[in-house]
Amino acid sequence: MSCSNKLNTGIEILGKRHRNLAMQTLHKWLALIVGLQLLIWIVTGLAFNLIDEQFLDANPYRVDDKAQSFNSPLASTANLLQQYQTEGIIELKLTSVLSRAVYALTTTKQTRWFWADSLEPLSLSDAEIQAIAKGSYSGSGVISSAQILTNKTPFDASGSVAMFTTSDPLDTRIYIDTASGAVLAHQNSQSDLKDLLFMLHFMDYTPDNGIGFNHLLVQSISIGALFLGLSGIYILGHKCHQGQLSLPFIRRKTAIGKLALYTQDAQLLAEFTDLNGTYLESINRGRERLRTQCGGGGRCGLCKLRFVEQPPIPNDYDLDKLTATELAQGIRLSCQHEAHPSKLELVTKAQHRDWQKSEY
Amino acid sequence: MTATKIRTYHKWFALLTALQLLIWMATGAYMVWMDIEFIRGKPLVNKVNGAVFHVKAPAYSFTDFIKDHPNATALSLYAHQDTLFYSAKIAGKLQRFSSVTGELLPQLNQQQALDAAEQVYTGKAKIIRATLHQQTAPNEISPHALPMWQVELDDAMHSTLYLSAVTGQLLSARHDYWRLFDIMWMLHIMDYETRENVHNPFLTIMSSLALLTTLFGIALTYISFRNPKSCEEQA
Repeated sequence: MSCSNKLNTGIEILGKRHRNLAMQTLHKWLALIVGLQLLIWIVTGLAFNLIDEQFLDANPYRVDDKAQSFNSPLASTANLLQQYQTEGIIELKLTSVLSRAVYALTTTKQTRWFWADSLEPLSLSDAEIQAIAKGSYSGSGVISSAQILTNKTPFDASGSVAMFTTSDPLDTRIYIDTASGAVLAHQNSQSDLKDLLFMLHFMDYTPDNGIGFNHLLVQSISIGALFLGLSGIYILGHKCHQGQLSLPFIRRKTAIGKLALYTQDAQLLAEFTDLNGTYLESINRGRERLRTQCGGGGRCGLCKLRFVEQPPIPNDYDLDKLTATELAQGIRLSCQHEAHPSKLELVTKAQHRDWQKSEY
Repeated sequence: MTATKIRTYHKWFALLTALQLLIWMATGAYMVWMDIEFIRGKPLVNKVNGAVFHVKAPAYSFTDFIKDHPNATALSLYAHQDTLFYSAKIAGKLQRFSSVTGELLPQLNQQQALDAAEQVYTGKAKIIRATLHQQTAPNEISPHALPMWQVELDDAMHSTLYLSAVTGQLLSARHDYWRLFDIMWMLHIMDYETRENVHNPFLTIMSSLALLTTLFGIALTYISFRNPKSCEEQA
């Protein structure tokens, strides 16, 4: 191999090593930024999955509109259509409020309501609005007097919105559009839970005008989460490539032989026969004898041990965390190599101290 | 629980859930980035086109209609291609009536459906075909509005308009981004058949496993960011 080829290969290996480590760093930082929201997404998703629809139902006491038969004669629509023609009429509907016929005239600008027998604009008294609320409700609770909402509401109302509370166990609330007499919605403690779950899942913390999911906050976090997933899969692939993902039940059993661990003074500390997973996992099985910060991610370097005989080929994490001298001495990160029968030595006094502490 | 165990559990649970987690993240990202009004086909159509009418009261009045059909519901006077019609539900079925004579009118024929589609469509693509659906609706639209005309357009995103075969009014618009959104939704809720049941066991199992993956991951994040041991302590 020529010098330039060797150099290229070296640069390639270095670049790949840096990419692997960068991916792990990226994964760690993204987890810090989006981890909590990911947890919220999964918990709320699981809640939607597990909670029966009826426990989130807003309408257990809602009565559907009944079909009305109109007995009183209806006024001619000629004047009405003439009056609003300039606005561009789209539709004229015949509907009813409190069993009285109503024309709902929709133009390109707005919808207006008129009593169909007199063509007088629809105007409802407090008692009539309360009667509409009562007519939409089949529960046993007592309905309060109207409270006109002054804040923004998520409802598509033409006029101000009247809210009625009830004394039933679900704390049902009834919302009426005072302009049309339409029952906008029933809500209760069950639907409040549903709204809360949606709010958390969609990250819409200002849902006054309805809960939406096309906003910058959730869009940004979704991209972060996507890269968290992609970097996680890359790391899994890398671990698989390095032989750290062989399933326990098909893993090579290496009971033939022992892993002997010595102090820095070559005093035998312990012997291990259950060699499953990495050296670190085999040594720490049942008790944390060899303390680490990262738990075996190859990032803290605290699990380094010296191989007395035949050290394994150093991998990316060894090369990143250990000096050339340490590598030459046969020191490796015990979290990065699959356990085999071998002789190992502790490398620091701290490891010995932690070991002794773990014995008590 | 030791850090080693937490890392091991995170690794193995991640191996089980990685693909579905990635699917949730990718499908979620698609759904929040695509404007829902675009997905619903709003830019494709203008419902007001052709719906505005400038005529006086119909010869056949609301009173006449009520007299002839006392059990009618959802009675509406609307314009379609410069002509006034009544629509109403008779015995739960939507029907169209003349505003001049009050007679029951037949469903829209193909030419009328094409004209209606052209009136509401705001794009420039040509219509490829119009298909009448009487009994069963295509998967991408609710069958509640049957019968309907399906009008397919020759544009890059295979836009399709659905019009009521009774009234000629636009029911809905579909296009490839909507269809992709629907697939994303299916993958997101893991209901591969009806695409609407969020209470399915696949979702329960994978969400539970994903919850464990995430909890161990969050614990690992804490471990990764806690203060490292001092050099003296390591020596």
